Amino acid sequence: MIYFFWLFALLALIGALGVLLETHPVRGALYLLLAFLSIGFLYILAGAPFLGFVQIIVYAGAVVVLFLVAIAVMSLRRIPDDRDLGPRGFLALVFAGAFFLVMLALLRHAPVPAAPTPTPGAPQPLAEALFRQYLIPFEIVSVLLLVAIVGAIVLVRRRPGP
Amino acid sequence: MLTHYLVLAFLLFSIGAFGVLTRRNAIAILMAIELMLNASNIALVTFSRLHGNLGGQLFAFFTITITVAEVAVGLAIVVLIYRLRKTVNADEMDFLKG
Amino acid sequence: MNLSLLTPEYVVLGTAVVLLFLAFLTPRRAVIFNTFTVLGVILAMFLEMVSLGNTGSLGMLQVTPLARIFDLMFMAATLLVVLMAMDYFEAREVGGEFYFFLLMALLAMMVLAKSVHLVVAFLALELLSFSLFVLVALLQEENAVRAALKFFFVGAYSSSFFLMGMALLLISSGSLYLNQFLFGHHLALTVVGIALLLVGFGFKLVYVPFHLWTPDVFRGAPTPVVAFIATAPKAAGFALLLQVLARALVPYAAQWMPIVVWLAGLTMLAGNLAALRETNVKRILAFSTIAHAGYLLLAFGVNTTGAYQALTLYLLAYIFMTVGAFAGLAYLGERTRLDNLRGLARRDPWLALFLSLFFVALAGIPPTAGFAAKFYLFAEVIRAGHPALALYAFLNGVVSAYYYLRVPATLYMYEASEETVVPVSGRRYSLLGTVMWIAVVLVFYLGIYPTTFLEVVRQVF
Repeated sequence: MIYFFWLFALLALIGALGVLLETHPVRGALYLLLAFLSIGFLYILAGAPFLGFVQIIVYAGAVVVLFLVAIAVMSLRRIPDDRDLGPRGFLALVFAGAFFLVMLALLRHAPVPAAPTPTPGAPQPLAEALFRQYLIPFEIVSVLLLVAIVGAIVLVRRRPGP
Repeated sequence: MLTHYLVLAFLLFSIGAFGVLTRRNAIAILMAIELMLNASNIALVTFSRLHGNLGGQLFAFFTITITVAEVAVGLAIVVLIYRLRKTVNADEMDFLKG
Repeated sequence: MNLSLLTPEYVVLGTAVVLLFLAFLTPRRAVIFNTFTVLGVILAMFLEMVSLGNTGSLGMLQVTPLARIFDLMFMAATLLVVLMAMDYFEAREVGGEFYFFLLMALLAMMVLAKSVHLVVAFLALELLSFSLFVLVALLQEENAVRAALKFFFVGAYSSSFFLMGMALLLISSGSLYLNQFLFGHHLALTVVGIALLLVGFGFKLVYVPFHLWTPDVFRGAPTPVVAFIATAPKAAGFALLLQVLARALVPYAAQWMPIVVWLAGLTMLAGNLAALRETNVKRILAFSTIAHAGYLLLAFGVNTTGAYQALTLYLLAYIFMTVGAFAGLAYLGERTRLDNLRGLARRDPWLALFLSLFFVALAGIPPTAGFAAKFYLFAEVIRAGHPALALYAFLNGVVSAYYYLRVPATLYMYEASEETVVPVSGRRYSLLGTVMWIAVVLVFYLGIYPTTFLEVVRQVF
């Protein structure tokens, strides 16, 4: 069991680093796909199977495809190396590194209780909680999706004006 | 075992944060932001595994929805810019400069 | 769960959805959309006023009289912006969708002011941000779209920090209810979690160092959208900060108060100093909103109920002054450099008078609302035992008076040059005129009788 974790964690990291360093957009999207898939499997390992499959379907299915469609629409081939590894890149590295170390120290300093209790990852209890305790966030998310869809359509619509 | 999940979450978050600051291509920045949101999702799932409370997983569902909506709106704006300017580099709109 | 508490929200949502149908079905006649939106918002305001006393809890939302007062503020700002948008978008046919996103942003702010659970607060913040991103880029003009992209990236970036902060708080305390996420058994996790939340807040409230996106978005986006972004979301952000800092984190006040005082001081300074160098009036207003965020943060730095009452008054005055100033600028279309205003007083005395009144109010000169707001806020800061802080803020106000009063000065004291904008007269500007009249009347009413509003707020706190 433990090996699976290390496998998927490693794949996720490879995917993330790939997204970071890859200049060709399509290859970047495929690295992202790798990262999303491995995170999905990690969820299944962490006792949230339903969430894991939703992650795989939604992210690997929809988000990466959306990126590829956008890349195709913009017919992007090789982009000049847009990685900004100059002084600003170094500053960003310091910031990200410091952030990571702070979080690491946080964990060591505040030991997270090791004994995880089994959680029902099956859909049924999730659905009950979603439509009972979390009803209001559910409604807000539906409005949010409406705004996002209408927004995306309205923005890219050909306007007759100038 | 669960601290490993959190370590992975923080690592992915930092990689994403670094990516957003160093890439100039709008699509690459968007992908890096996706990584950061996914990293937070891992931390949320770890919480629900830890406290045995479904809240974490449910919150992760909402986050996934928000991320998808974000990608939709973000890509719409990027496509719009591409149509207006034929370039997708975000360099001239360097958002760290004043 | 008494769902009738949220009737104003249903009215706003209903109006928005009907607008969507109207926008895509009926031919493009802005008059229908505008009047329909105005009626919807007025109905919602009426319902809000009628049920001011009607309070209760809905699990993750808590309806309090204070939240209703903030709702009225958001609706007032939205109403003025809708009226402004009608005239401003006369040429480009703006369909119903502009008003749809405006109403969606209004809905998000109303939910934000009532949320007592971090998930609901986060979702409302995202709904607000998405609506604003789309509003900025809606007209598909190049610099507006570039401003929207920058706005989007900074927004998404800070949201992911906000989210990670919530995850940490959840891990340490097991609950995201505002009054519970505090009592986690891991102090370190809680502190870092709150710090990450403040990063997310920074983007919405625009305090240092998250103010960098403001000038470009203000210059790029169309004026009515900028008037909206500069006022209502800021009030919503402070409403939520009130819930988080002044309600949930009271036990840790000793820790976060000094941080907020420093944040307030730096933000004031950054806003004022940057505005001094500006020659584009829209960017001057952008930096002035940052400076005002600094003054508003003072109330949290002092953390007394009196200061929060003064904060509410200040927000109300701030909304009307800023919307009025932007309505004046809307007359000038997109040419808002200082030398476009040179000697405008001779050509369009009314516009010059109104613009000057708003900038005088922003500078905080009596008898305007700007003065009353600052007066009560600084009085509370002194009463809370921070005279030095009040003096520092006052000096900042004096510095700000310089760049505010430059506008009336250029309007009246210089000769008209070829750069000066030729005002377009006639019916076309009737609605903009009404917006400015409403704003001026309220700015002076609040300036002369601030206690009426303060009494209402005092009962509510």
